[in-house]
Amino acid sequence: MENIIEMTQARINMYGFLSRLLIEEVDPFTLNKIKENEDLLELFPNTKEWEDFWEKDTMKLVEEDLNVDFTTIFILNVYPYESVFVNDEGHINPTITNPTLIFYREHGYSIDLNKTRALSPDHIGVELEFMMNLVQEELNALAREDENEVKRLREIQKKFLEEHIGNWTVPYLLAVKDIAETPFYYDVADATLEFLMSDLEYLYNLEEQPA
Amino acid sequence: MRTTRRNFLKTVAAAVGGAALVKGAVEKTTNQAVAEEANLTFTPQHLDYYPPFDKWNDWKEPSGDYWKKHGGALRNGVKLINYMIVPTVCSNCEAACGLTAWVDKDEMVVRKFMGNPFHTGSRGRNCAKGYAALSQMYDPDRIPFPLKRAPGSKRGEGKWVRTTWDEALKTIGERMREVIKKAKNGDEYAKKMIMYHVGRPNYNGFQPRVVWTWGGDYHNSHTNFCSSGGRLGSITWSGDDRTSPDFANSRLIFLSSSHAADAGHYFQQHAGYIADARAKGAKLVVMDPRLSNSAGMADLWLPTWPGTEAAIFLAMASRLLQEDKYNRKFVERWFNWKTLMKDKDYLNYLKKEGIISKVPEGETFDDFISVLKEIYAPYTFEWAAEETKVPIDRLEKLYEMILWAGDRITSYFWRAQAAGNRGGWMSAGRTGNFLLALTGSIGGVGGTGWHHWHALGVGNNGGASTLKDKPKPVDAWSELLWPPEWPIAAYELSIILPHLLSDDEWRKKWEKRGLKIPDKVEVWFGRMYNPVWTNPDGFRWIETLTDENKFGLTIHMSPTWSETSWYVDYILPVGLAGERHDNQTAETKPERWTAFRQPVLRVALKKMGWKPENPARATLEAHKKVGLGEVWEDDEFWINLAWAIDPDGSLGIRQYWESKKNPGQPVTVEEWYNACFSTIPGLKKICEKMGITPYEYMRDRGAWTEETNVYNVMEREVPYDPVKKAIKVKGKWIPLSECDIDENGAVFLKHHNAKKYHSERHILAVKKDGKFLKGFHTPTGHLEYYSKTLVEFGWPEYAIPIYPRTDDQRKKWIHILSHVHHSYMNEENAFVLNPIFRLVYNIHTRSVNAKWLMEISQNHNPVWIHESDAKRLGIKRGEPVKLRVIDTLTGIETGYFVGMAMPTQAIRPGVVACSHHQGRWRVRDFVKVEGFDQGLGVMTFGSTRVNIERDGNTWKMRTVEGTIPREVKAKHHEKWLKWPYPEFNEDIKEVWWKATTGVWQNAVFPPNPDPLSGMQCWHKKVLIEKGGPDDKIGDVVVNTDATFKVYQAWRDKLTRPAPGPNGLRRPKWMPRPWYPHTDSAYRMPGTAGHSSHEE
Repeated sequence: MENIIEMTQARINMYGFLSRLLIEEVDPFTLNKIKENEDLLELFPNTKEWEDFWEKDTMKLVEEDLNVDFTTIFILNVYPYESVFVNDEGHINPTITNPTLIFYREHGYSIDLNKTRALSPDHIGVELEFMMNLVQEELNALAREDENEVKRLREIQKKFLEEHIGNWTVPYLLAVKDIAETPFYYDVADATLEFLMSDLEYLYNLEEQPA
Repeated sequence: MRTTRRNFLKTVAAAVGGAALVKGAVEKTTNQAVAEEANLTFTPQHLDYYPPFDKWNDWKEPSGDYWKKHGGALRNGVKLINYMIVPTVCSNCEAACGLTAWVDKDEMVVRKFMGNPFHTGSRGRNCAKGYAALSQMYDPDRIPFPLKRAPGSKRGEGKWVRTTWDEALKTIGERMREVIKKAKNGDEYAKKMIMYHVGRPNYNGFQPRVVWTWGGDYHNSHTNFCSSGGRLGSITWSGDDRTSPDFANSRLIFLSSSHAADAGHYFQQHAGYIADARAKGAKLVVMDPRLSNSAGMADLWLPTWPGTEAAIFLAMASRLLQEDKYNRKFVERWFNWKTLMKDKDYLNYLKKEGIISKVPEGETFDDFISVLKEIYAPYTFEWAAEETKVPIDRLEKLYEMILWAGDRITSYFWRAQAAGNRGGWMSAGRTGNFLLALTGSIGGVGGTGWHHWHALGVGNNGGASTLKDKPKPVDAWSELLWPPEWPIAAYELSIILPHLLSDDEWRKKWEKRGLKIPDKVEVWFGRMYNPVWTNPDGFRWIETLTDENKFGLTIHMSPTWSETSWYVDYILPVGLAGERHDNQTAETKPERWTAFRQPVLRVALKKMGWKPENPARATLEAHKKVGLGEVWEDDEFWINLAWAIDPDGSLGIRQYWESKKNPGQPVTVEEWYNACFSTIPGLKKICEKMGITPYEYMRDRGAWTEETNVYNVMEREVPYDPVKKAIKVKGKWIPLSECDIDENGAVFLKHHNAKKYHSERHILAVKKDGKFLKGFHTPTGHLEYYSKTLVEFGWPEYAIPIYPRTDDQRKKWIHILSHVHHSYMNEENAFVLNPIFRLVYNIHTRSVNAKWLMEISQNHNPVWIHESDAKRLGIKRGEPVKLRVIDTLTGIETGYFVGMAMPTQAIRPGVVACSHHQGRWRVRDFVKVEGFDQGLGVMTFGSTRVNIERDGNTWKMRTVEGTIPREVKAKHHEKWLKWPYPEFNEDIKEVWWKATTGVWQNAVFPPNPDPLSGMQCWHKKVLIEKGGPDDKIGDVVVNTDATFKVYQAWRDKLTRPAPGPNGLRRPKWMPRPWYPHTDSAYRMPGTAGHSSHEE
C-alpha cells in the first residue's frame, strides 16, 4: 500500500513536471533545479553532455538557446494541440466542440485558459495537467481507502490516455525530437514519450491487481 | 521496462514537486459552469456538425465576437445569440452555392452566413466569397436609398439627390410607356430602343420573362466579354453551350487553365469534386501558361503558348486515330459521320484546299476513319511541341494518361483560351471536345456531360400565378444587340454597344439594305453590370454613356457604387445574396438541383408574425423595418414597374404581372415562385405528402434535388405511339408525317426546306435501332464533327475541327489564328499579356464592397513576368513597368498602362499576366447627397482615387490616393436606419492596405470581337518597357480614336455578315437567348421569310 501511494505521488509529480516544461518556456528557477539534482538529470542524458548547459550563464542559456528552440518547436513548427493532429483540417479547435474539452467537462473539470498562454484546452501541457489532477484525486481516494473511486479514476485515466493523449502524442513527440535543436528539448520530448508509454503500461498492470 | 519505469518514477518523486509547478488551468467544475452549458442547445461531436433542421427557427449559439473579445469560450462565460436559420443562395459567382443566413432574432440583423447542408451541389460548403456575403450586406459604403442625378447637373459630375422608389417607378415607367406605345403602333425603331443589360444574372428565368413582357427586342447581356468563345466551341458539337463534367468520378481531369480547380466557373463545388476524384486516384493535368494553384498541384503542367492549345488536342486526337485507340463504338454511334461522307461537295472542297488528297469512294464508317486519319496525320507530337512550346515528353505523358483514363476524361471550356484568343472557340471547345468525343468521354460516368442535362431552372415558370401566362414571341431583331456581321455569335455583341451607337457610317450602310437601326437607346437599365470598368475600351463607354443623345434615361440597379453608376441618372439599390428572391441552378455535377435565393430578413420577419402593408412590396418594407435601408429586391421592383408602365392595362403588359389569386393586385413573389416550384414533379409530390406548398419547402430548406446520376441523356427514349405514328416532344404529340428523317436518323420538322438547310432544322429525336432517342440538340441529332451550318453561313474552312500549321494556312485561316500567336511577337520586348485569370477570393466587379475579400486581395494584380525576361529587360520586383498595347491585325497602338513588376518562375517566358480582378477606381471619396445629412462613402476600401484628364480623344488616368481607413459612425438623424452599420464596421479604421489596389488594364484594350463567336479576345500583344521617372503604377493612357479604328478593322476585315440560307440572320437551331423571337424576326428584311410590318 505504501508503495502504491509513493508511486501515485511520483506520477503526480511527473505529470506536473512535464506539463510545466511543455506549456511554456523554461524559467531559470526550474532549470537550476534540474541542474542541481543528479537524479533528475538522469531524465536529460543528452543535456548532461551539452557543454553550454554547464558553461553558459543560466539566463543567457534560457534567452539565447532554450527560448529560441521552444519557439521554433512549439510556436512555429509542431503545434502542441491534439486537434491539429487528429483532425484532417489540421486546425486548432478552441471551440466548445473540441472533443478533449468535452471529455474534461464530462468528467467534472473545466479549463481556465486565462492561466496559460495555451490557445485551446487540448494543449499537451493542459492534457498532462488534467492527468495530474486525476492522479491527485486518485491519491485522495487511496487515502480514504475508497476502492471504487480509485478504480473509477484509474478507468478515466486509462480512457483519457487511450482516447486522447496516447492517440496523438507519440507521433507528435517524435516530431518534436526530430525538430529540436537543443539537447534539452530533445530530452524533454524523449522523457515524456517514455513516461507516457510506461504509465499506460502501469495502469494496465494495476488492473490485474487489487487496488 | 518495468524496472526502468520504477526507477524513473522514484527518481522524479524524490527530485521534483511537480504539482507545484503546473499552471493550474484545470479546475473542478463549478455549478455555474454547468448552468451555462445547460443554456446551449447543442454539444456537437464533430466540426462538420450542422443544427438539426427542426431547430432552425430557434437556435442558440455562443457569440463569436464575444469569444474574440474575451479570449474564448472558456474565459468569462459565454453570451448566447437567439438565431433563426434562413436559407438563401450565394450571389458572388455563378456556382449558386447554398448559404444559410443566421438571423439574430433579438437585433434583426444577420450575424453570419454559413453553408446549406440541403444543397447537394455545394454540400454545405462555401468559399471565402460565400462567407464574405456578410461584409457586403453591412458594407459601410453601400447605397442606402435610391439616388438620382441632381437636376441641372451633367452625368458624371457627381451631384446626387435622394429620391424615392415611387418617384423612380413613375419617371421610368412613363418614359418606357412612351417607347412601348410607339412599338405597339408598329414603330420598328421603338422595338429596339429600350435595353435591359445584365451582368452576371444569377437567376434562371424571371427577369428575361420581365423583359419579354415589354414586347420588344430589349434584352442585352455581358456574355461576349465572358464566355461566348467557350460556348460556341460546345454549341457546334452538341447544340449545348457548355460541358458539365462528372469530375468526382473521372480518371483524368484535363483542365485548360486554372478554371474549376482554383478559380473559375463553378469553383468550390467543382474543386471539391476534383479533390474527391484525386483521392480516388484520378490524375490532374493543367494547361496554362501560368503556374496557377491548380497547375502547381497537378500531375502534369503544360505551359502552352496562349492560343495554341488546339495543337495539343489535335495531336492527341491524331495519335489516337493513327494507333486505332479511339473509342470506335462511341464514335460510330454518335458522330454525324454519315453527313460528312454523303456531302461530296464538301469533301471536294477539302480536297481543293489540300486537306485531303482524294474524295473517298465509299461512305462507310471505315472510310470516315480513313478521312480523319489523313486530315490529322500532320498534327504530330513533334509539330505540337514546336507550336505550343511545350516539351514533347510532356505530351507523351499526357497521351499515356489519356489511354489509361479511357472514357473517363473530363474538361471544361469556358474562359482561358476560349476568351483570350481570336478563334478561341476553335482552340478550346471545338478541338477539345473532339478529343473528349474520340475517347467516348461524353455523357457517361466519369465523363463529360452537357449543361442542359443537369440544370433545373424554373424561375420563368410562374405564369400559372398570373392572369396571363407567356407572351407571344417577339417580332423584332435589334441590330444593336445582334449586328448582321456576327450571325454565329454565341451571345449579344454588347462589348461594342457604344461603338455601334457612335458609328453612323455603319448604321447608314445597313439602313440602305432595309434594316432599321436606332441611333439611341431611350431607356437603359444596367443590372449587376459595370461596363465602364469591365468592358474593353472603358473610356469609350464613358464618352457614350454621358451622351444624352445616345442614352436617354439611364438606370443602374446596384447595391453599391461602381465606375458605371457614377455616369448614370438613377442608382437603384437592389439587394445582395440575402436580400432578394431568385431561383438559380447550375450544372455542377451529374444531377439536377435547384436553389432559392431569398431576402432572409423579410422571411424571418414573416415567420415571426410580421405582415407587410403592401404584399407586393414586402421586401422593401422589411428592409426598412429592420433598418437595412431603402433596399429593394429586383423581382418586386420589376413587378411594380410593369404596373407603372401599364397602369390601366391598355398596353397588355400588366396582365402578365397581375395576381390570379387577387385580380386587380400585383402578383406576389410567393405566388410566383410557388407556381414555379410547382412545375417540378418530384418536389410537388413530396410537398403533397408533407402537406406544405413547394414555396414553403424551398423557403425553409433553400434547395431541392430532383434527379441524381444523370448520365447519357442522348440515349433516353422519346415516347412513340405506333397508332398515332407520332412522337411526344415537350408534352406535345408530333406526327411523323410532319417530319423528315436524315441519313443519321435525325428527326426534324419539315418546314423551310430543313432537309437541305441544316440552319433551319429543329431537332425532335434520333431514330436508332428502331427506337426514337433524344440524341443531341444539333441539326443531325449527333455530335457534329462536321457542322454543315457553318458551311451554310460561309465558313466552310471551320466546319471541322482544324488548326493552321503553315504560314500559308495562318494567313488564310486568320479567323482562328490567335491574335497573340508567337508569329506576331517580332520585337525583343514583345509579350503576350494574359489579363483574364481569376483570383480565387475575388469576383470580377463585385467584391469591392467586401472588406474581408479586399483585405486578402489587395495589391494582387502585379504583372507576372518570367525571371529571365525581367533580367533581360532590366526589370526588378516592385518596379513600375509600362505595357504598350498593340493590335496585331492593324498594328495600331491604343495606349499603355503601368503595372507593378513581379518577376517569377511561375509563368512561361514570353508571356506576362495581370489578373483582371483589381484596379477599381473612384473619382471622389464621399458624396454629399441632397436630402440626407451624412456623406456616402464611395468604394473607400477597395479602390484608388484617380484623376482623369481628357485631351480630345486621349484619356489619362493617374492614381491620387489609396484606400481610406476611417471611423464608421452614424452621423445622420434617421433613427430607423442602421446604415452605415458601425456595429459591423469597427475594423474599417484598421484598413491597412493603403497602397495600390491595382491598375485598370481593360481601359487600354480595344474591342476585339471574334469574327465567329463575337467573344472579346482578351489577350493582348504588349511591348514592355521599364517605367520611366514620370511613370507611376496605376497610370492609364488611351486613345479612343485608335480603339475605334481597331473595332472597325476587326468588324470589316474579319467578319462574314448575314444572311445565311433563306435570309436567316442566324441559324434557327442556335436560338437567341432569353426569350423567343418570331420566325420573321430571324430573317433579314427583303428576304422571303421576313414579313416587316412596313412592307
